[in-house]
Amino acid sequence: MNDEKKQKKPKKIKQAKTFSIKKIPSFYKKKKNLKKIEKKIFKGLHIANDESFVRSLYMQKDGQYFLIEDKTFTKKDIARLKKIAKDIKSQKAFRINLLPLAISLACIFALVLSVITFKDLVLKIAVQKIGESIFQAKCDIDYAKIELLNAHIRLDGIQQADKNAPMKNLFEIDRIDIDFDLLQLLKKKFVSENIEVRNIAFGTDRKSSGFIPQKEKKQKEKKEGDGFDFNALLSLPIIQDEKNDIIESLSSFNPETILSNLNDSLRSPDLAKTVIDDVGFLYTKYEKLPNEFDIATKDVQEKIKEIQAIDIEELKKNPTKIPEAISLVQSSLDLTKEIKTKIDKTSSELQGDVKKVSAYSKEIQTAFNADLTFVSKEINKLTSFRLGDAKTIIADELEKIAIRSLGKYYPYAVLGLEKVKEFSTKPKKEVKPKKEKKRIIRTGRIITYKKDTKPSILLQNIHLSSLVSDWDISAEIKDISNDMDLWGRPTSAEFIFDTSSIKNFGSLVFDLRESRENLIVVNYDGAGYPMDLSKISQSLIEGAESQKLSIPGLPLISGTSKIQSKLVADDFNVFAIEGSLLLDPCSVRSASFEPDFVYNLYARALQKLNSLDASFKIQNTKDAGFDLKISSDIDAQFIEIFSELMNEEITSIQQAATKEVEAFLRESLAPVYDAIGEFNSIDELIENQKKKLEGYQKEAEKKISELKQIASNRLEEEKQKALEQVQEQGKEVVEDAVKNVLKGFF
Amino acid sequence: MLKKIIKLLKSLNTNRNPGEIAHAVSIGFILGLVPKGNLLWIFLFILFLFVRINKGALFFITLLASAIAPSLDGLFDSLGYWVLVHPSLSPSFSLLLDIPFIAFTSFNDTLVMGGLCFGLLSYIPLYFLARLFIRVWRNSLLPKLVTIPLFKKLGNLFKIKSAVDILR
Repeated sequence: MNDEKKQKKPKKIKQAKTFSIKKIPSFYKKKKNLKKIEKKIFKGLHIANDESFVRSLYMQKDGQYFLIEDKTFTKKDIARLKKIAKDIKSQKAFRINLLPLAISLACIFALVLSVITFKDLVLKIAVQKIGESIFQAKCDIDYAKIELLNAHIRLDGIQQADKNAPMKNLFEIDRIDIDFDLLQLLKKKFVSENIEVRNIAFGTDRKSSGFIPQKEKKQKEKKEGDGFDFNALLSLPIIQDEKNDIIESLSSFNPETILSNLNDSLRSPDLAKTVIDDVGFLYTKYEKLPNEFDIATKDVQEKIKEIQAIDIEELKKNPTKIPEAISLVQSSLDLTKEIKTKIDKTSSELQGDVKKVSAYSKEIQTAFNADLTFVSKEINKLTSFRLGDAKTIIADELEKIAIRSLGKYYPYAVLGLEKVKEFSTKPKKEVKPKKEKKRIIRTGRIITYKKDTKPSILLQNIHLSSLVSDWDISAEIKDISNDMDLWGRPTSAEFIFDTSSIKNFGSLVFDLRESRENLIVVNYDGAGYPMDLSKISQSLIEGAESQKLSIPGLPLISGTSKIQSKLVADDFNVFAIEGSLLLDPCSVRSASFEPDFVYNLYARALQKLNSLDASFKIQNTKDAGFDLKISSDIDAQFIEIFSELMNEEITSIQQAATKEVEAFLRESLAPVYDAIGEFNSIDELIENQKKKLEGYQKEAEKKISELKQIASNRLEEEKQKALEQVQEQGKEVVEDAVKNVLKGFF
Repeated sequence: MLKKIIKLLKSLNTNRNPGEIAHAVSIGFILGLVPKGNLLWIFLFILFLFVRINKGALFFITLLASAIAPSLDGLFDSLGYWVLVHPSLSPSFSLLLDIPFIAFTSFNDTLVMGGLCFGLLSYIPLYFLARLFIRVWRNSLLPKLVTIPLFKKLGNLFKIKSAVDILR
C-alpha cells in the first residue's frame, strides 16, 4: 500500500533515509527458535499487513528463522516495528491486573481492620448516646463488644443515671447479651432471638454525677385519649357519701336514733323548750335584783359596822354622846327597814313565780318519767337482732379499693397500652407526593422462596434476672414485634418476684393481631404478701379524702394475702377483671363509735374473723357500661357472728340502751334543770339578803335598846345624883335639867 | 468517555489481542443487561476492572447494552423467573438467600437473574462474534475505510489520525 502511494507521488517525496537491521527493536532479534518466534511474535500479530511486514524481516533456514541482514528500513518502518513490538508485548496470557487488585484488597483489609478495631467503641458510644437521649442523664458502660459474624452484642456494667437525682442510678445492669439476626439486620430489620439481662438494680448510688445539660424540647401536646372516664366513676355515691351500713343497722339500739324516731311521741323535749323559754324570761326579770339588793345590804352592813363600833363604856363615861349614837343607830334601822320592805315586796312577787317554776319542774320530771317508760317499752320490743343479708360491709371496702385503684392506675395503663399499640401496629406508610424520578430503576419480580414473617422489629426472647436484696426477680418476655400479624404470635411475658415468704407470678399476653381473641390477657398469682387494705386505700386517696378512712365502724382489714386475678381486655375500654383475694390470717378492726356497748360487740365480732375470702369481677362493656362486683363470704360470716352476739346479749343491750336513753334524756333536760336552778338561786339570794337584813335590824334594835338602857341607867344614876344634889342643892333644879336633857329622846 | 471510545478504536486498529476486546464486549454486555444498583453488578464491575480486558470496549458495550436492556426486560423477567423457580435450583437459591449480604446482590430479582443468565449464555457466542468482527475489521474493513476521505476527516476529528497513519 505504501509502495503504491510512493509510485503515485514520486516527485513530491524526497529520498528517505534508510537504516540497517541493527536499528530495529531488539524484540525482533532475541528470538531465534522457530517455535519461539511463531509463538512470541507472529501469534501476537492480528493485522495481516503487520504480519506480512514482520514476516518479511525473517527468512526460514534449517527449521529456524533468521533476520535478513541486508534489509534496510525507513524511519517509519522502525517506528512501525516499535509499535508492533509494544502491542505484542502488551498481550499477556495472565488476564488479572495483580497490582490494582492487591491495592484494592489492601484497602478492603484496612477497612475491615478499622471496623474490627473500632466497632466496640462505636457500639459503646452509640448505646451511651441512646441512653442519654432517652433518660436525659449520663449513661456509663464498662464494656461493650459486638461480634458481627456471631451476631452477638455484649454490654457489661450499664449505669443509667437519674436526671432528677444525678448521684443515683435510675437502673444498673450487670450484663446484657443480645443475639441478633445479621441476615435480618441487613434487610433493615432488627430481629433478636435472645436478649438476656442479668442483675438489674434500681436506685443504686453513683460515684460521679450523672447530670448532663438539658436541651430545651418542645413539649408535645397531650392527646386527649378516648379512654374510659374514671372521673365519672369516682364520683359515684359509694365514694362521695361514705356511710357505715353497720352503724345504720344498729340504729334501733342507738338512743339518739331511738329518740329521733320517737320524737313525735315524746313530751319532755317540747316541754323542755317551753320551760326553758319561760324560766329564761323569769330569770331575766329577777336576775338583776339580787345584785341591787346586795349593794343596798352592803350599805346597811356598813352602817351596822359603825353601830358595832360604838364604845358602850365610853358612852357610859360620857353620856353626852349617847344621843348621837342613838341617832346613828336609828338611821341604820330606818334604812334596814326600808330595804327590807322592798325585799319583802319583791319576795312575795318572786314566790309566786317560784311556785310556777316549781310546777314546771314537777311537770318536766313527770314528762321525763313518761318518756323513759315509753322508750323502754319500745326498746323492749326489739327481741331479736338481724342484719340484712344483703349487707356487704367488708366487700364494700374492697369495692372502694378496687375503684380507687382503677381510678389511679387505669389512665397510666391506657397510656402505656396506647404506646405499645402504637409500637406494635404495622407502621402505616405515609403517602408522600411522588417526585419525578430522573432515573428509571429496573426491578423485576422478587422471588423470596420462604415467607418473610419477620417484622422490622422483633425480639423473640428476653430474659431478665436480678437479685435485689432478698428479692429473686426473673422475667421472660417473648415475641415483642411491631407487626404481630406478620409474625403470627402475640407478645407474651411471664415474671416472678419471689422472696422466701412472698411469691409473685404473673403472665401477660398482648395480642394486636386481626385474628386475636383478646387484646390483653393478664394473669397474676401472688401469695404471702402482707396487705393492709386500709393503708392501700389511704395511699390511693389524696388529701382530705383520706380522712374518710377514720369513719367510725369502717372495717380496717389487714393480713397475709393470696391473690389470683385475670384481666381480659378486648379494647382499651372493654375489659373484665376477675379474681379472688384470700387474706389468711387476717385481722379486722375499726375505729370506735357510739354507743359503746354496740361498738364492743362489733369489735368482738370483727375479731372473730380470721380469714377473708373474696372474689371480684370488674368489667366495662360498650353495652352495659361499667360494673363492679365484689363478693365475699366474710360479710355473711360477720353478720352471722354479729347477729348471734347481739341476740345473746339482747337483754343487757336493751338495758344498756335504756340507760343510754335515760342518760341522753337527762342530758337533754339538763338545761331545763339548770335554768330552774338558776332561777331558784335568785330566790335563795333574795331570801338570804332578807335574812341578813333581819339580822341587821335585830342588831340595830338591840343596840338602840342597849343604848336606851345605858341612857336609862345613866338617867337613874344622874337622877340619883340630882336627888342627892337636890337634896343637897335643890332637887327641882336638877330634875328640870335632866328633863331638858332627855326631852329629845321621848 | 470519548477517550475510552478512542482507545477502543485504537485497540481495534492495532495488534491488541482481539480476545481482550471480545471478552470486554461479552462482559460489557452482561454488565449492561444486569440492572444496576445491586451488589452483584457492583461486584462484577469491580471484579472486571482487575481483569486485563479492553476497558474502552467494556464501557462502550456496557452503555450500549444498558440502552437496549429495558426493551428486553420481558424476556429477562421470564428467563429469570424460570431460573429462580426451577425446582433443581430453587433450594440452592433459598440457601443462598440465608447467607448474610447475599441478598444485597438481588439475585432473586427476575430481571437481575434474567439479565445475568442471558449475558452468560450470550458470552461465548458474543465472544466469537466479536473476534470475528475484529478480524474482519482489521483485515478487510479498515484497509478499505482508510481510503475514504470522510473517514480520514473523522479520524482527524476524533484524534485517531495516528492510529490510522500507522496502518499506512
